[in-house]
Amino acid sequence: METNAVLVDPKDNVAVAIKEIKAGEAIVGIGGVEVRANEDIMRNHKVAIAEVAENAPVRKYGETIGYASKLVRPGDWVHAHNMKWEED
Amino acid sequence: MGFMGYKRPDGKCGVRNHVMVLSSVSCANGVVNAIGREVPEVKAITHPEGCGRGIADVEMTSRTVAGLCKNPNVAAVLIIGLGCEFMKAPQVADQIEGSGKPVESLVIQEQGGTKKTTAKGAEIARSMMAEADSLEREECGWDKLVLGLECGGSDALSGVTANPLVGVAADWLVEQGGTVILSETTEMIGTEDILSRRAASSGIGEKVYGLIKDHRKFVKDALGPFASMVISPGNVEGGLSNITEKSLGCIIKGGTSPVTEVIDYGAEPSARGLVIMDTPGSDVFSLTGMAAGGAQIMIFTTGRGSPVGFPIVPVVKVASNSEMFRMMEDDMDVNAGRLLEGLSIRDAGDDLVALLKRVAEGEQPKAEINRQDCLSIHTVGPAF
Repeated sequence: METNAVLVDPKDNVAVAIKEIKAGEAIVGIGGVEVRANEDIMRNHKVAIAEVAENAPVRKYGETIGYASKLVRPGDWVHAHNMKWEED
Repeated sequence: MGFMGYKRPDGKCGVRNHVMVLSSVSCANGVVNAIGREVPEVKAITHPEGCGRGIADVEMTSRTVAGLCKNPNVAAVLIIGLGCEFMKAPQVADQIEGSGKPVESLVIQEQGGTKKTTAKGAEIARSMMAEADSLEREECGWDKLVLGLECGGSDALSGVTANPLVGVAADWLVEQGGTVILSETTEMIGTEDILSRRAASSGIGEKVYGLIKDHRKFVKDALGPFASMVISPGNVEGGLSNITEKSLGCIIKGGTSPVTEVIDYGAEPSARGLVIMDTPGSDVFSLTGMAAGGAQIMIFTTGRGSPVGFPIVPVVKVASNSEMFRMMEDDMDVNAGRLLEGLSIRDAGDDLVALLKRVAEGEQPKAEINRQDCLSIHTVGPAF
């Protein structure tokens, strides 16, 4: 299967889609973890590869980029609709 | 091994040999442009500043204009003033006298108007061109190179491909004893802990932390509920959710060296290594500040595709993705999208360093070929 995502740092819980990923497709390029997209993921957008509880950190570059504003499941698209900038 | 550059009287080394004609105030721009039409080989540079500003802006503009004149890529400078402005041409000339390079100034009100100033200015510019043409490149050490880093029109891949690639070149130059300027304070917001941990001393770390924290407050006060969106709508559409995510992807282009200094907009670094300059995230303002700080080459990463260059400093464009690289091939020099197609970052880093050396020795990157001469001096207060 062709690589469709990049995990920037091994500590990250989101990967970056490098091409459009359709709902149901496997996320390929994240090193062994089996995750399927729950919805269409636009190219260059983030997809969760692990569960992120509400208020838990969303990690990219091995660092916290924001906090889940609601429960994020593996395969969910992650963007402003389910991630906030600062902790409550 | 270094590069073949132009040695200046103050010991600095240029990678270009420009004669610059510059206005001290916007009212002199018409004459500067007229001299540029008469002598097209000169870099005729205009800007909207030089009068009618508060103290902070007077200081910043004065430092920036003097810094641009002192940039090692400039062989000689002709400054055109009006006469009744705040930042007077002869005063600018005095500020750069220490550099030892040929500097002259003309004042329009003293010369008797546009046509006379243009004629005299063109004559001076031609003689400066002849003198500059007699200079030849000599061997210069990499420790003499100041490399400015910029990102603009970022997308989610800028921080995944292009910026990590530039980070490899930044680390390489610091190892050679050179200087790298990481700019755009706005795009460091949210990374204050990480960058201050990387400072060479606790004092510098505190400065880094304070700079970013203060700027974060400034952005919050100025933008209110939109503070988390100090990224353009294009960035958001491109997949970046907030400034912290964008910032992390931004600072990665500075590489992994310790931060050795924090400097004001347009100021010259006194330390070597990785230096942070306080510039706005807006690209042309930031490029102008780094050029004034003495950067002889700048690397500019872009995901959405920015064609921007700078009049006196070659700007190397690194595309974050192959699609945009192909779409805007006339504006892009390096395709970091190849990192997603199997090219290792090590090989790509070697290629980028080799390109830097060629650019230092005269090869023109696309923005220079296209004469993408963009320059804007940053200001913080109102005009009066």
